[in-house]
Amino acid sequence: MSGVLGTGTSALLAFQRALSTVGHNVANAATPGYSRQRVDLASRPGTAAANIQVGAGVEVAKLQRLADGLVFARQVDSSGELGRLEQVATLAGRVDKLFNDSATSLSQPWSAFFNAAQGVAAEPTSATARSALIDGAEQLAGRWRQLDAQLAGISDETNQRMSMQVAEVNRLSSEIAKYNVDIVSFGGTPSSDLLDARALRVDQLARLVGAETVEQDDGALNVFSAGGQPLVLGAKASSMATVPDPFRPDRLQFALAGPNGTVQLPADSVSGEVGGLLEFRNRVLDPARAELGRQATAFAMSFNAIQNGGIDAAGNPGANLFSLRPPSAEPHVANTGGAAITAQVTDLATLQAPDLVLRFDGSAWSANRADGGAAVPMTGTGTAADPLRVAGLSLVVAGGANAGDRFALSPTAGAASGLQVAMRDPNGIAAASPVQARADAGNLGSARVNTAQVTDATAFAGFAGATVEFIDAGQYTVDGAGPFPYSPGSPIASGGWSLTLDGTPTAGDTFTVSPTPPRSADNGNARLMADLDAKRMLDGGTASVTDAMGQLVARVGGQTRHAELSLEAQQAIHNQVVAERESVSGVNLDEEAADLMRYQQAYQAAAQVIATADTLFQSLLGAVRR
Amino acid sequence: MSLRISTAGLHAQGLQGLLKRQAEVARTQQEMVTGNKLVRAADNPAGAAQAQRIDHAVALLDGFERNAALLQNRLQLQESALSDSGDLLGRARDLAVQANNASLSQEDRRMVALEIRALREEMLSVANRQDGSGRALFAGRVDGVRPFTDTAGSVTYAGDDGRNRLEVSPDLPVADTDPGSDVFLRVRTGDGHVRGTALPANTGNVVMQQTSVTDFAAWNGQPLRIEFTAPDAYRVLDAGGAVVATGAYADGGSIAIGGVQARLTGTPGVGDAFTIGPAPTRDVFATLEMLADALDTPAATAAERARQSNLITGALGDISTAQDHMLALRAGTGARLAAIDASDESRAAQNESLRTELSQLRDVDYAEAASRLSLQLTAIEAAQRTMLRVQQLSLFDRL
Repeated sequence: MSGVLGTGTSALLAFQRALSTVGHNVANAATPGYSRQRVDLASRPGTAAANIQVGAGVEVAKLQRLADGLVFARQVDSSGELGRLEQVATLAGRVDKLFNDSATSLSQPWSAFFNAAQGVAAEPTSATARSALIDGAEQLAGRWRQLDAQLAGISDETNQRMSMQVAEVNRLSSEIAKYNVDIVSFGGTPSSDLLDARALRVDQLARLVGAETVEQDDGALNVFSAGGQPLVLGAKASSMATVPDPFRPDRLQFALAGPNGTVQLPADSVSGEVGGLLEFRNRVLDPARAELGRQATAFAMSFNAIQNGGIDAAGNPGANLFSLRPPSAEPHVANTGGAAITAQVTDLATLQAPDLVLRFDGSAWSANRADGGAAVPMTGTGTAADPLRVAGLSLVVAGGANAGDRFALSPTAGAASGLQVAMRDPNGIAAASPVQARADAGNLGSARVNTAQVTDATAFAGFAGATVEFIDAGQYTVDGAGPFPYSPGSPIASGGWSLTLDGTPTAGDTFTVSPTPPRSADNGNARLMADLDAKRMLDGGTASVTDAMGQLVARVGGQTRHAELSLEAQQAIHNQVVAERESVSGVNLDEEAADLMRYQQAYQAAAQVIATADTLFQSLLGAVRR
Repeated sequence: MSLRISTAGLHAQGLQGLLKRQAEVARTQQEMVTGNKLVRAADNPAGAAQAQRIDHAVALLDGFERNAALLQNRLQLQESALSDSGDLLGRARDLAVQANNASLSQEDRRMVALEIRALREEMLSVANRQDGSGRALFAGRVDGVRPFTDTAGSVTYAGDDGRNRLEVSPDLPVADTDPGSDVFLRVRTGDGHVRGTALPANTGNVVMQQTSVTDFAAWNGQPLRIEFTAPDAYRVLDAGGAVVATGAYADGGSIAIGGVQARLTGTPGVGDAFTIGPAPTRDVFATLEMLADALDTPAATAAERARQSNLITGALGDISTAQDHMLALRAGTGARLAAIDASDESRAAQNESLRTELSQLRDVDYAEAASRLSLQLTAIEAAQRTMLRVQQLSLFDRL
């Protein structure tokens, strides 16, 4: 009798426990990171009586947390990758939009500027056309600066994001460490909900920096970043930090804060959102900004060169239309020598945009790519007479460098932010070629001037005038020197200028070559300006600035597309992993409802067992009383 | 293996699907509203780069079109100026022929001279014409000047020999108006190759009616001198004074020597001479001025009359050569105008093909986008309905 009562009571208790577990599951059906729990029931062996073993009811053997460690590891892995790709895709998408949206991209002011240049070529003396070119230059330079400022803004934003994310990483790491302590203190039977809370934080941490986990025997979980950097070791959480870049104080780098100060971590030591930020900055933002600067440099320098080679309305050689900031060479904070480097762009055809690191080994300088560290060929010694020549720049080192001193060289990054219109006088546009030629009025031959142009600005400098005189149709002298042979159509060249004639000269015909006077309506130089958009001057003379702009759009677009496609794929993987986790650990309310009914019925049955035992007992009491 | 589905998972799955469909609809809507399917380069990186380049090329075509319109205007003005000059020269030629008639009185000739001077004035104003925007047509590359100024009967030119070239289509430069020096100043005289001149001291009444090169191979371009040794005999001297030919002269006969033929009429005095040499260039204003001067000069004696007649005949040749010169320039101008017309067509064709390409790259195909939108809307509705239905299923409702 007491056996039946005991059995019934054990069942009541067990089913109560089961029902409350169902209730807990239902209550946490929407809790993030919750793993469903289940009571494992086991029958209670009874005592042997006359060789018959009657069971003694039921007991809760275990409260099981339904979770799969392998699925969890995959989820953590996928979270890190997802965080990284999400960050890259979102930010790259913004850069992409900047370059492709006509309201922010260079394409409209670029076309407008060259249309204005065409206008000056068409009407070289029109003040309206000249003012339109200056306005076009202002707008183009302004757009270049704006675009660079937008990219700089995104760069600042990555700094801020990184600071916030690092704070979040530290919070999560210390929480995980604290949960480790709690879980270890429970010994072998930690609370399922504690484990869930820890797993949730590991997942969140993984999303930020990527994570790999190793569980220790005592139940503590060690967490490492995707690159193997320990984040949590048992009860101890590492402290991450941001440090200013040693070359560029305005940008932050991911670092580990140790007892002896902070150590900058390489970009590949983290994944997740922080890794995505670094990857975006290194692979999308910085190259795009440097390339933008390269285009600005190439355009401004070559336009200025054309300006300088022409004659303005006042008859003077053209002054620079654009001013540009020289390339920066920033010393590393740890440099011990007093060297300073001044850089200038000397060769557009070999000008390379990527940032470089210059290193002095005590006797010679070497250059390496800032990203990846590949060696870049460099010649020269760094003196003014023999400057270092690398990536289209020439560098002069002033002061003494010590072995190990480093400099960060940005050939073109930020150049676009310094692009300004230096000249605002419409008459300063050098539309005219610097040389003109004139046939003598008494010439008897049919030859007349076709073109006169400067072929070598250096040799032409200081030119005051020259007279070409034909001895006969096949020979001429220049200022009495010669004779030189002449064949029809071929240029007559001397002192940096060249002259071509139409028709046939006869003996005694003279042509006067002279510098262009003021108020010339010549458009020779303006035509060069209008053609600049198609002039192949970059990459060894294979690409024009217009080509390079297209390439930049395509490259940023391609990177964005790549990141988005990877993100889509990763999202699918992640969904799959999450579904697997849910299938193991997720709460299904229908299942819980079924369990609820099952356990309720069982509970009612157990109560009935007790009632029956009671009836039996009452019957017995009644029999005795009578 | 069928996965166990959690309620939260089911919900998340439905929600994710719904959000994704919504993003697609938003995307299609954006395409249809902007008409642009290439909002981001990421959708088609190579296409976006190409579209930007084409945008630039299309924008530049506007500039070329403006150039072409400007050049066309200036060249048409040049053509009409050349045609007017030709007409003026033709009128001057008619007058000269008329004035060469011996029956005209001195007073009549003076009247003709007056008219020729008026023609010269008119010619000067043609040469100083502007293009309507304040630029002289014939000043070469000199800005802000009046190219031709008449000072005491001689015209000075303030322009230069430069001629701008201007792109009217990518890589198709067309020359601007010709410099005034080429049009009005360096104009050949005589028959364009050779010119004969009577010496002013001639005493007879021989008039050189015509001089021309008949055999270019035989003509060495050196000056010759025809000298009459007797009223019916002549000799020809070369530049060094050596006699190269002698012959008998008959009134109205031709003298052919060294590839050059000269036709003379009248009776020479002994020692009368004519020089024949390569035709120099002279400005048309001077040619007209000389003609007018010749007509103004009184001619009383036969010798004076012959001198005047020689000058008028020479001027006649000069003027008709100048007419040819204007015609040749008109032909050149016409060729340039034709090139501009052709460039108009090629530009239009280019514009068309560029815009077509751009449209293919960027423009939304509305039929396709509309059907896509309706499909996406159906999908989103289905997603919403299934989500609702699935959410309604709960065993707890039955408890």
